[in-house]
Amino acid sequence: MPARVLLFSAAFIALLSGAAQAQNSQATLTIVIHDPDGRPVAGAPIQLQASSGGELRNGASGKDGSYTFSALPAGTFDLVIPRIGFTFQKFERKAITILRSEAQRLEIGLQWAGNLGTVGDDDSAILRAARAVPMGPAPRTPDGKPDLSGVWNGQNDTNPQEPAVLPWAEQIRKNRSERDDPSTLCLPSDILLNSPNVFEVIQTPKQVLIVGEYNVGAHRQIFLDGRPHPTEINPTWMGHSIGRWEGDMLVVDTLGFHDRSWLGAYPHTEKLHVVTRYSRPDLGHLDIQITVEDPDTLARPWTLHHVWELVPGEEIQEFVCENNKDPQHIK
Amino acid sequence: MKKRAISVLGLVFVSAVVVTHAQWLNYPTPGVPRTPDGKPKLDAPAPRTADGHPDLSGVWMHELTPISELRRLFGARIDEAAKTDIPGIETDTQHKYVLNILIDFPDRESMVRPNGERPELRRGGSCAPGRAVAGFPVAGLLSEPIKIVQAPRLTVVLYEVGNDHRQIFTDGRTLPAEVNLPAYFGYSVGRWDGDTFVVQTAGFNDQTPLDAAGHRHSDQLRVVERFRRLDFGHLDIEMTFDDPKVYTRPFTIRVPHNLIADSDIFEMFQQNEKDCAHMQQ
Repeated sequence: MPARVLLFSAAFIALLSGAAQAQNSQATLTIVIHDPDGRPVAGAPIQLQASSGGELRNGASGKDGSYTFSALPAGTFDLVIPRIGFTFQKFERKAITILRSEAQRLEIGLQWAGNLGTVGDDDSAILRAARAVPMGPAPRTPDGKPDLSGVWNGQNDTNPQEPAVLPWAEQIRKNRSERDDPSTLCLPSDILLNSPNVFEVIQTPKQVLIVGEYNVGAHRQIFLDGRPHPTEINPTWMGHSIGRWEGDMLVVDTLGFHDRSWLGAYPHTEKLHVVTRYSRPDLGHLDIQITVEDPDTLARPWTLHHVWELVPGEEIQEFVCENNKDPQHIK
Repeated sequence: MKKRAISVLGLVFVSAVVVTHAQWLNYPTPGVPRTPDGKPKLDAPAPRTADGHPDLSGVWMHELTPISELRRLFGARIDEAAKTDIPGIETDTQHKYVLNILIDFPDRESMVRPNGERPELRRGGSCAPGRAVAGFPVAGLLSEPIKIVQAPRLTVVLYEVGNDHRQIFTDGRTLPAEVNLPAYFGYSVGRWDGDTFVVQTAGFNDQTPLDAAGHRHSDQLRVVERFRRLDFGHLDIEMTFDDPKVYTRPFTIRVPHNLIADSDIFEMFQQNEKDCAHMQQ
């Protein structure tokens, strides 16, 4: 017994001193984010993780553009600010050294993304900054299924995975510019419905209809009546979608894409097959997981994940693509 | 000019992918009432939604005007136009009201204000490169069907023409006093009056004609539609147009629709539409 007591004591003491070390580490890291014009960026998602891996800490910048991570152990950390809508490019800094008990401050300047910082040209970001996500339980339809209906604010995958494409597709992507995007000819460009735009989901017992404010009028019909895909699918921009409930998750299978659309910036073939899983954990969130397969384009399935936020009171505005008057000159 | 207008309208929508309804034809849709030989039972009662209203959901095609009737109304021009008919969008698949929305009014000449806009399709008008917009009500009166998707707080009308859609809000709101963004399809609110779905629309822009005869409308146009699903296979749509800037009085047209069961609308995205304006000359 005395030996066991000794062992126990040793372990206990070791534990104690470890905890004491963590408690003594009052290192903080304050991130301050501004845009290329020097203005603070509020609401920017910030991810911090030890370079060796482990717990991912999440924060979001306040109105002054700052956020403080506290109680950090000494060590090196990697910082990521994911791409924000159409406004800011992704920011990354690796191997930030944190010393014990220090208060470090990091000024970060984000770079403009596609809209070059044009005020008002990012509905998703504006909505996110303007309103809090409503709270409450997820609603249900009269037949007991989760009701996915609502106007939703889309956003980027905050932890995007790069698709593993075959060499021919990478080659094509290299030679493409944004000006070649189908949307410059008023053709659909968001075949996965994963862009940071505003969407409306309309759910009836027989189908779900997803209408985007953008995407050149392309909508997605998801048939819930048990039909399979047609045996001879006529390929379309948005494919043919059928959905079934697995518990509270709507699993949507889409086939029958033609090959003129873009998969992100990549080409794809008519073998494209997309499975989308929708769940509504609470009133304000629509959790969307997408698995993309195309054996002739992708070396392995590509997964995406993003969360749409409810924006009640917002409406999808009419979007008629009519101002692309000069595609030749844009090119 | 009118003759040109008829063929122009046909041409403008030809540059799209030629549409057929064969995509999912003969695909029996679950839930459709059927006769003993498996055909859809079009005189079955109209289905209802969980809240007790008739369910207007479905793919609907306006009643076709027989070519003989078109000829009677519009004369030899119809035969001229029919010479260049394209399968799927033949002259007699377009409703008479898309050729002339006032054709059934004997007093139609006096219905248009003399100081209204000149009755010709504006050059380039609704025809920006990349896309010609049919607008309302033309998008639902051409050769292609519409699809109505009815949910508790929102009814959406999907148009095969141009892959456009209209939203009809049924959450109890009234039309806004001012519409900030005039739209091709306006802003619509709907409510039930017994078994009739009454839709009010305002906030149209003035970019699209009401027909191929050159009847225009202003942004003051207000439309009231009355939808009645008579039975499983038949939908009556009555539309009243009120535009005091252009017309001397409101006018009402009635367009019965037939259900296209076991089918669906198709995508229609115009591609390589670089020369629409030249086509309208």
